[in-house]
Amino acid sequence: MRPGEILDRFMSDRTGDGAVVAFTGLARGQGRDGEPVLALRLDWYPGMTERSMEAIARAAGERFEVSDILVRHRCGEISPGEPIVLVAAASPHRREAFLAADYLMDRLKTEAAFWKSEKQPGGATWIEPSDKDRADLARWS
Amino acid sequence: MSQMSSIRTLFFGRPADRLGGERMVDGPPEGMTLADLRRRIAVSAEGGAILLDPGIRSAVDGVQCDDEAWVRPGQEAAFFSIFSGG
Repeated sequence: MRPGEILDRFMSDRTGDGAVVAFTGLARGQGRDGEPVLALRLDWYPGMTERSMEAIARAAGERFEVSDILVRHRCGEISPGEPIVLVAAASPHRREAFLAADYLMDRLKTEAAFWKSEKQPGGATWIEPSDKDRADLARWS
Repeated sequence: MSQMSSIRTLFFGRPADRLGGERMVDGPPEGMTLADLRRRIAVSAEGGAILLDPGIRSAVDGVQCDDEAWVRPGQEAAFFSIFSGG
């Protein structure tokens, strides 16, 4: 995934908007336990995973004054430093674009149908949403 | 003599560690509830007991369902741990 190229396409010919806010998530080289992460693996359920992301994007479009939303997510094995996710929101005004991008990421971090594991020197560990992820999500309820 | 049919059953997350990604599970031609399918795998497959963990969720044809949902041969069942999120 090349976020810069995807974002360039998303921003082209957007004369009606005054703002595009984008966020790129990267694979960390360190786990929650501080141990090095050799690779991140994201498993997905074809169909269910796409629908879960579409539902989140649709909800963002209904909740905020945005003209367009972009969500791109990788799956499979991802090396530290590589992009995992790209979201962007276009809007006539910056505040709504910031809010929509923030909302998209908070929901994706807990509700997107992925199963993520960290490959560490001692073996692989499944990753589940943290208390912080849940608190971030609760801001929108 | 009763006939048996198979239900394609997928596993994601922690259940996949124990059961692999996919199994064909024999059952009656009229199908069964997800709860019955869950129990059938739990007693017949090595590592299948993980499906008795109440945190393991389920789906039919890619749509999350509760354990009372019915799954028929030709449909696809799935069992999975909580979503990690993206």
